[in-house]
Amino acid sequence: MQQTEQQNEQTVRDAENEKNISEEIKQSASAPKTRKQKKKRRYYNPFYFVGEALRSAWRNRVMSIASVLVLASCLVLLGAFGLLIRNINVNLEQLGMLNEIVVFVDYDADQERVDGICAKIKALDNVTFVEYVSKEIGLDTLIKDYPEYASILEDIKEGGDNPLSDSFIVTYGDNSGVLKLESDLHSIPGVRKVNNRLDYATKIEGFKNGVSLVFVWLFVLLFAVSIFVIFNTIKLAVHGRRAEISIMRFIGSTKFFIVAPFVIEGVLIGFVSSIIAYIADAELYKYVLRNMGEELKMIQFVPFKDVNTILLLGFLAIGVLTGITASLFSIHKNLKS
Amino acid sequence: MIEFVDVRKEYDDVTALDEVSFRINDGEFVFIVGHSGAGKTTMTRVLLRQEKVSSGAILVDGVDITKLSDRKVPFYRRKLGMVFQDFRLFQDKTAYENVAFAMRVVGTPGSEIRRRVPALLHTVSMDTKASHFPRELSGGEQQRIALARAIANNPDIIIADEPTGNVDPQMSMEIMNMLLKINHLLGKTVIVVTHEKALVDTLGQRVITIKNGKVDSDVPAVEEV
Repeated sequence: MQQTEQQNEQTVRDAENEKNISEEIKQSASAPKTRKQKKKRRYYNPFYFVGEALRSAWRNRVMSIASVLVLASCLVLLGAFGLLIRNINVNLEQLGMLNEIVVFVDYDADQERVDGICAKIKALDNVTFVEYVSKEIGLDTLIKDYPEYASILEDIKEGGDNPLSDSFIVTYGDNSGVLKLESDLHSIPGVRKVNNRLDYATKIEGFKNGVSLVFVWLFVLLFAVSIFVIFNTIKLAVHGRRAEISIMRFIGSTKFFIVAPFVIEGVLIGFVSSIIAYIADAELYKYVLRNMGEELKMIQFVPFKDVNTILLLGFLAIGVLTGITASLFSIHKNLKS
Repeated sequence: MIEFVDVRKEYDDVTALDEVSFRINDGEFVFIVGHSGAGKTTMTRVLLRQEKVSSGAILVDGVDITKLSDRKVPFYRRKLGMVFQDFRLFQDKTAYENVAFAMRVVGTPGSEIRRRVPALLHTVSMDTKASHFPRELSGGEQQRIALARAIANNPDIIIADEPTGNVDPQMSMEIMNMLLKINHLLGKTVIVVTHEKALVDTLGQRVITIKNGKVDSDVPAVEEV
């Protein structure tokens, strides 16, 4: 009796199973595959890959945040150095364009002697213009340029104890002849000091070269550190999904389908880092302009609007490239195993 | 058609498959049986191109899969529907999403996925459990989802590796019956690797017995009266 009941139940289940294979499934199984159906169908929804990348980043959010912060810090440092070099270059260009030498005469030179020196300077080769700056005008210029010291300078002016000397601003035509001109100026009696702005330019150029060298080494080092951190983040992501990846391989996922979300995850890390670094460097630079622009009058600062686009694009390029490089490297190493 | 031609697979000093040759025609239902370590799993792995053979050839629909480049292996695997002993479902996806994922992987448009997945779940009597996660399903129910996933892309061949290993005897019979229905009504070639002799004897299908890496016997299906 019990066996009959079991057999009846089995028969009912068999009938149910047969009914359950719907017409749709039967038809698609029996229809011959057309050439179009046999061709590979590729319709990968890009939002799927982005969604998977975001899920993976959220799953390993601690490492993802660490990666973003490390890369952003690297980019901020690189950006700061880059802005410094840019400003140095602009000021070097300005110095190079001035084509001027400042000649200071002896402190005790009287007006007759000063006039004589002026005539000799004008007679030199390569001199195109000579501007006389008396010590009084020099002191007035200092009072105007440094108002924070105006009271002290006014006292000096009223006391009649002007420490400055008369000077000439000598404009020359040819940069190649500047050294000879400088030598000629030194040889004029009564000339105390000759300030060649090209000397300044050479010193600043040397400083800039030093900064650039540090910049390159810093770039290489920080780039390597960022890649290492992102590499480990993606490694964790791959490891955490190894069971899923195994299943995906069995059901016929291509390598692209498996790898794409991880690469996008690397891109996202790079992108977010770039934006953070851009905002940080922008605010830092504006702070410097606001608070030090007035104090450092002799330095010309590049306006932020002239560098913001290149700064943003540079950060995005480096950030995204770092993310992609680290992801691909990590996937290549860890997916094989 | 699947044809093993003098297939040999060696691991260091162990010969897992030793000059194995047999042919399975389209639409056949075949059991591959043998004791533990006989070579059944190795046979499945080389058929799936998880591993490469040491020598010999495996022809699937006339193509020697042992010579396929790694780039083409995923496309070959789409011709197969795999059912595993441990189900291998995505734990963070619902039953619906597990079946849909198999279709998404091959680039099936969303509209077709939305149309076919309910039908597939209905085929395995799991349409009421579409929104359940694997942890909320019994072993038998999970295996039915795995079966639906296996046929999602209309493969030519279904390979079930110990499909009843983690389910109760009653559900084992149901799983087998589903595989038989898929074979009879949809014309799929079904290969079931198992060591459950009682199940094999009950169903009267073709049985290839593997012993020590060799084909020990090849008994044809019992003809229906």
